[in-house]
Amino acid sequence: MLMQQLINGVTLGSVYALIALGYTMVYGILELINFAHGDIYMTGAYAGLLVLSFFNLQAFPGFLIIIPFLAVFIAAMPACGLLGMLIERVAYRPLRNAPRLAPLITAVGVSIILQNLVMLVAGSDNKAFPFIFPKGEVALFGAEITYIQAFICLFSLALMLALNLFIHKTKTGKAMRAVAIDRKMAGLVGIDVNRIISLTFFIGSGLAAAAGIMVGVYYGIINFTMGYMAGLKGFTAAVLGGIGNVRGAMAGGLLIGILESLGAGYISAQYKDVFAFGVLVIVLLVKPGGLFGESITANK
Amino acid sequence: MLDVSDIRIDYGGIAAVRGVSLYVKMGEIVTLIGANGAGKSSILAGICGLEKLSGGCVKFEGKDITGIGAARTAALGISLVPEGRRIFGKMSVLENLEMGGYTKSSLELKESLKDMLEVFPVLSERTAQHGGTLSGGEQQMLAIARGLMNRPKLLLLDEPSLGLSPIMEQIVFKIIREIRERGTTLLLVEQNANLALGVSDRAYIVGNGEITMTGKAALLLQDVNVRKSYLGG
Repeated sequence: MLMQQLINGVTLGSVYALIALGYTMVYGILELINFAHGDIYMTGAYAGLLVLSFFNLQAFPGFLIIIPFLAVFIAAMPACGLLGMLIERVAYRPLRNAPRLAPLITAVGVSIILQNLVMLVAGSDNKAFPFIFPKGEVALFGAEITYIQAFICLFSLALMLALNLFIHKTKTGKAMRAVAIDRKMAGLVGIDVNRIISLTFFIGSGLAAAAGIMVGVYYGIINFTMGYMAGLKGFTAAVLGGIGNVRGAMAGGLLIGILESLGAGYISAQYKDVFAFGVLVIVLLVKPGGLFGESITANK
Repeated sequence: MLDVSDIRIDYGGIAAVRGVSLYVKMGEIVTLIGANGAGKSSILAGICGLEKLSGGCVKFEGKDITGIGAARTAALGISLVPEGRRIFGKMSVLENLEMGGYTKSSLELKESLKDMLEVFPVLSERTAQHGGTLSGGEQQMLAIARGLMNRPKLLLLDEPSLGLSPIMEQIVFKIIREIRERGTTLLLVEQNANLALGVSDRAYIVGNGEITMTGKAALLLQDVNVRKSYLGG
């Protein structure tokens, strides 16, 4: 039972971590809580469904189902990345020098617009997301991990490792960190700050889309409001890890996922959301900067 | 090399720079001195495109570079080492230097890196250390080295001796001379007017957002009024 709950928790936590990365990267660079981020995740799931509608799934029996499955990621992740870039360009960039409350409220507005756009196009009822992954499970430490769970964990891990390599080993990734530390100074050394900010939104939104698709396949059902709770959880994970801290977001996501699963399994499934947010409250009381964050009084 | 004519900078309606004109010739060291808040740093910020000008124009090597922004100005060969150093604190010394050469090809970057570690041996011992953990003097070295990574034709130095010990000040000014000998032109803002005039060819005295006096550095060092106002008698 414990092992099974841990497996479920890590699966869920991987998804939260992917969402949290978008929050934390954007916050690191712009000090903006992008409240539309959860809805990008939702849009990612719908974009995935749209891509699937071009496939005749009957034509891919057995293991071949992996072909449309991969096509969904390849098409929907960059598409949502571009959507994120577009949102930054039209909604946030004009407010770059405005008081911080203005882009925050704008982000809430963008969130409402995205939800309603998707509702208008796709309808307000739940949509079934076809299960497009090989079925089966393997035994793991006395519990069972399904193929899709294993995929979610491993693919998320791969994306996070790739992101980590990118921001620490490539010139553009280092420039991204430089912009996060000191935007003006980054401009002074010749970094095109706007390009880096666009790229940050592209990456964050692409990761959120991947999370949305995986949740669609995992649970088999999507809804235009699904971004609300997932966005809150991702945000919680980012704050838990220390907002602005990429590795913290990864750890925070996993922690929230595991706590939620254990709480649901051992205490009460109805109160599962309480555990995530309860932990957030406790951590913020004890360590306001988050688990891996700086003390909030320290300068960056 | 650098021609600044009649530039103006406003901060929310308050004029910080009101019609400043100055020039820097290739190979010179030119200093701006003046009281705190006189607008010296603003002038540098205006030249390198960090602050928007509300009037006037900046020409570099005969080309109008007014309003092209900080990133493109850097690519043309003007580096600013800003006041307070502004090291990327959570990046390693090596990464800080790499960022300094951001506009350069990886080959040029490698060469500059080798150069800088030679000129600043203290940095070569600490390449893996976070920039924020260096001492003030080391951070100033890093800031200057980062500015030079871009192989600038013109280096703008804003208060390089601020907050440094007298020994460290001497070292920084020795490096400033070396930089000129290596072929880089310098425009300096400095509150330690004695030291600054000592290394400079010419100087401008800035007061209240305007140039109040200009001339050869050696002559300004002798000037009674300048001595009274800026050199402690």
